[in-house]
Amino acid sequence: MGTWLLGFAIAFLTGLFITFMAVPFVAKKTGITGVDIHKLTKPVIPEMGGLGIAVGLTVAISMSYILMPTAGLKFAAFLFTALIAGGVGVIDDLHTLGPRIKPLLTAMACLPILLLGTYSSHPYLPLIGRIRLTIVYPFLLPFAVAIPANAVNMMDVLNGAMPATCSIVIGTLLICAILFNQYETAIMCAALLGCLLAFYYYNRYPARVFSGDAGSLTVGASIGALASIGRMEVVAIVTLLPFIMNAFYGLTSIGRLYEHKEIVSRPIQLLETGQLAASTNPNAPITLTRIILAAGPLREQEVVKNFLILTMVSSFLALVTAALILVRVSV
Amino acid sequence: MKAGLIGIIVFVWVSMLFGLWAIWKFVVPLQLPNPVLSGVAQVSLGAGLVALWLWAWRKITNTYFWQTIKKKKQDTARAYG
Repeated sequence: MGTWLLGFAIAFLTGLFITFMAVPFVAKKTGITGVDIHKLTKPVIPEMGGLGIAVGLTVAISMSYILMPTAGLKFAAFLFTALIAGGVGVIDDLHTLGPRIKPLLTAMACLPILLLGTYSSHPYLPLIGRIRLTIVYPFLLPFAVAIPANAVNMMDVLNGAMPATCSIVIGTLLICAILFNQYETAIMCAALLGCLLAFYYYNRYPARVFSGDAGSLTVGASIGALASIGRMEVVAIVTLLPFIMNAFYGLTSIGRLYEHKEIVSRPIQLLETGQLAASTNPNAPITLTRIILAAGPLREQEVVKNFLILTMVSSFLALVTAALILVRVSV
Repeated sequence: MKAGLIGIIVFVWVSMLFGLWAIWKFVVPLQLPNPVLSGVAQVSLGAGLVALWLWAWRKITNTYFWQTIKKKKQDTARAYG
């Protein structure tokens, strides 16, 4: 138990410290900037700061491996999945990928899990227990990585929204991993949580750094990898419900995969007061932000607060789901 | 906002759990005289349930969103006479 606790502490603190140091450095070095369109002054902010998360995660997982070499395969599968998705994000930040190519490439990030065999084809389902999906499971793995990666990417629209909501998601997965006796997965969660909290410091309102696709795809793919490696597929789906809702509404209202830049009718508008308001244009995509703003204009921080409340609700439901699994399965 | 959206999340969660249970309890054990037909029926019924779930989810959200927008417009019109 002492080794596990030491593992959590080292993974969390290393992720926190290295990301905290790396974010300003990589943001400055890459020199890629973006405009914060939700501010009246339209400030120019360094993008690709999310690369700092990838750096922090690499060091934290490497440190965990030194401490626990027996979990090396799982650590390697998790880290390489995150890094491949992050690499896709870097390419997208530098040369925008098409709306079909990006999900396809992020799906490829599941290859380390598949090749290293660090998944179980017997996932746990609430009220049902353990089921056997020996043939089907490998075909579901690309979706398990691509869906959370792109859903997190689509949620990264307001200052601090991505790291804050994802921290709640990872915290929930960490608790569930401990409940399921998946201590290696809990250590990976701790490492990612440390990275996200450090990144939140720079990305919170008013943002000094954007994560870029490099950061959001890294985090989303990591969540997918944690779900597969830790046998927490359904729990992860439930805790990610606000993210999935946001992506689902956007896709169904547009009717196809799309890039932010393609959208002619923006779902939200910036008012002269600095508040955000929902567009009433029937052609604009229905996103979670737009639904939140339907009741009236809000400041950017207030919308993020609503995101956090929704993620807390879904995380509570995820914990109930984990309990419903545990009553059927003795893990 | 919060109550409506939280309600949608709870609906999606409950219907997902119920759907998983229904598929496991009724669709998976389904046996027809021909094994190929059994497979086709199981996949079709499972996919149909998922499609119904997604349709209901989308319908509820769309209705909630446009009704909120409509109510907001009415409130604003009333406030300004």
